[in-house]
Amino acid sequence: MELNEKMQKLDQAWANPPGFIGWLRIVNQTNIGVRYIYTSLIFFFMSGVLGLMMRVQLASAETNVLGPEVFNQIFTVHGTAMMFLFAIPMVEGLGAYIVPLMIGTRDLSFPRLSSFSYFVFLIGGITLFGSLFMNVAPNAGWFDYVPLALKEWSPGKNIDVYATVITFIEISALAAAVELIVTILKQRAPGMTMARMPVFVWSILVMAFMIVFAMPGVIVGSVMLALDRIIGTVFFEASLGGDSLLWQHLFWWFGHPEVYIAFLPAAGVVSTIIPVFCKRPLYGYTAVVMSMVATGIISFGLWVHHMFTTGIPDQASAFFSVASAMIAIPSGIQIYCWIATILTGRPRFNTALLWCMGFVIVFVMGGLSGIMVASLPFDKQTHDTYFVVAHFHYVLIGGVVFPVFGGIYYWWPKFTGKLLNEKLGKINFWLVVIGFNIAFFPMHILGLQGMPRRIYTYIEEMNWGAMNMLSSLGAYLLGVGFFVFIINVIWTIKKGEVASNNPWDADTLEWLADSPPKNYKFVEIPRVKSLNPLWDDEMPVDATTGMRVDRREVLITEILSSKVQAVVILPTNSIWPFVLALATAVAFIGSIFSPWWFVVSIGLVFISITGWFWPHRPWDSGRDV
Amino acid sequence: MNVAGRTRYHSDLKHPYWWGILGLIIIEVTVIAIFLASYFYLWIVNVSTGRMGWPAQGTVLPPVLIPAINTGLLLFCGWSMWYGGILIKKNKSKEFAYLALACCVVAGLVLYLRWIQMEMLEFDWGTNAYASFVWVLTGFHFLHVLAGILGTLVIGWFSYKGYYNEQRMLGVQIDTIYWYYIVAAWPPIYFVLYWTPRITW
Repeated sequence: MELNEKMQKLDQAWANPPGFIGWLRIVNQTNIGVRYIYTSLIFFFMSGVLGLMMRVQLASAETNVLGPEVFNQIFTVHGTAMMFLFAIPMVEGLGAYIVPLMIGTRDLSFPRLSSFSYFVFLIGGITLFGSLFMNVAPNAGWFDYVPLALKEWSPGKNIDVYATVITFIEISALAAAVELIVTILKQRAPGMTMARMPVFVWSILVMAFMIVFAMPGVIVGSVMLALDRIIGTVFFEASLGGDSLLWQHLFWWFGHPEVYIAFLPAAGVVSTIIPVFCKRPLYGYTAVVMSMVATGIISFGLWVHHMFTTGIPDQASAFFSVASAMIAIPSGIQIYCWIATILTGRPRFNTALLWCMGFVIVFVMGGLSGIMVASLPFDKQTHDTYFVVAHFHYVLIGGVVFPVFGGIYYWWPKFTGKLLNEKLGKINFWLVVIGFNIAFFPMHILGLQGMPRRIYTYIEEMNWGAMNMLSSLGAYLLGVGFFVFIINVIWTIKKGEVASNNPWDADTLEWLADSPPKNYKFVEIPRVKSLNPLWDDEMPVDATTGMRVDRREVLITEILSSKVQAVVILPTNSIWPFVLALATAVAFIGSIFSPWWFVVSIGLVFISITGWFWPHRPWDSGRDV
Repeated sequence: MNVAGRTRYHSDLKHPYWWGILGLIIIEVTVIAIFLASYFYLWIVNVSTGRMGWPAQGTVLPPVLIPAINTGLLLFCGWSMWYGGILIKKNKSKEFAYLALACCVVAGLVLYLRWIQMEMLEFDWGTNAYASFVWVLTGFHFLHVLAGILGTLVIGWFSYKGYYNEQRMLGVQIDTIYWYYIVAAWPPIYFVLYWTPRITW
């Protein structure tokens, strides 16, 4: 068969349906991936605006722009959305888009599941922000401590929204995690053994395993909370044998690994970008991978450091204090490897690399204050003060947002076929870095001066006014910096430079595909012979032939050795994932109003799942012929 | 390399769906494990701080006979799906359909007995934290048996229509391992919630 004819047939087999209903039916991984990325960016900007509103309220003493109730809702939604609607979906979206291309396959293992998890995420996000506009948004902080969050102290619907929507969104995160694990383990191109897997793929693999074991903690917690509030169980009611610290344990069992769930893929992005712009392989590949795995494991042993002031036994505190300090070791190893790569390479200071270098510096600062709060006596002084707010914004903005934007600048040509503007990119970067430090560095000092978190105002006599004003001005500058990104995107859509398949001369397989990739990604699946295939190998080498072009086929390989095992036929476009997402939404969002919606949804879910798997006639033989 | 001759319908562990359903089971097992860990956590907290006993004094423990019968019935469900796989491998899809129906009937009996058992409980889910655990975890498992029945009915129907054969039996296999999970998830819940409070420590 001629190449052209082959491509034409593949195009047909992998085609996306047109129209709005068609949009709901698309299951292709690159489409779902960019949806994840764009949607989480929108939620990022919306949560950012909430942050700016908080800075307006806090800019000077005794202002009353927002008022206490609105302020509570705003800071709660800001935190909840940044974690559940930006950090996790963004890294999972990057994974869903980049991983299949990087490992040389045509789609994720369960294409319909990707579509389902996207719609769950979208519906959950809209519900959370919608509740804000209806003035019933969660208002007990993103970690939603009981007993404040129990019915007795929060009688409104606000916390019901939290308990149900969080559980709902977690379903999406878990589904995506399982899908990423299976895709990475079973669909790598022939020859891409574990030892030749790109660092970014490793980071997504570790992240996905962490999600699988961490998220059930918050699911159990939020289910218990929802049941306590809606039907009157007493898991957290101390007078009847429950316990409020149980919530904190369950929440932080998830909540601490969560920080690394967001951070590890970000570190994976950095380990991808730095070598490309330094024109050399990553220094210490094995050490970096081992550090990621170690981080993933250790991160499950430090959740109690969020609870040092709750009166837990000293010995437990000591253990978790040591574990918290210990996690600095694998992070440190990675940082030294990045520095070594930069020092021994020939760096080109493109915007993507700038974000990574900004990340290294800001993240190290956040790490240093992290070691400080890991120590028990220091934590007891600064717990619940702005010092902690400063610390985790250094870690999360420096450690996650910077690399993610680096990744967006780096992969934008792959997403859209156009290069983001470098000049605007640099303005974007410098405004954000400067604004960020002006906004958050003073918070360290405010915290040491005793300013507590989550207060909506403070009195003149505390003398916190000047620092808060400085911080607010920095926050506005930070906002302007991110606004430049939006301008850059619009400019690029209109006048952006068209990108080649591999504009950065990078080493990984996603740059072998077109920019933007065809729905089938690769005409033939390449064979991989080294860690940096596009630098070391003539591409494509010994590509796989014999996959049918009239239906969606992907190659299945062995987990460790990546030897070809079989070919799998993937399902095509379907409306059912969207319907199932709606049916599940009936259960969770309906329970805010009445537990009976849960019962109703069982029937709806059954119908949707059956429709999802319904085989269409005419059936084929079901046998290899 | 040419893969034209490679299998498309392999019904063994190579298929991604098999791994995917394993992932789902791992998540659900983690959920149960965290529930049970929370149960022991509350037990320790209540006893060590002297707040109240575990279960709280005066709690009438749930009867153990009906759940024991249910454990046996669930084992039958697991066995029937295992044997069903053998039947499909011999291309006896009609026979499999009847066995799947039998599995659903027995599982329906499990639900019926569990309903009776829950009506017999002498506490409400809001009586105390122990009671909350009994109700929620027993109910959680009830929903899983219900899901198993619904899934198996669909599988059985397609088998009756001749959809499955010795190569295309992935649906049957996935339903089967999900049943294994449903069967295996019950004894730990049963032991922890119904028996540990009866043991004199």
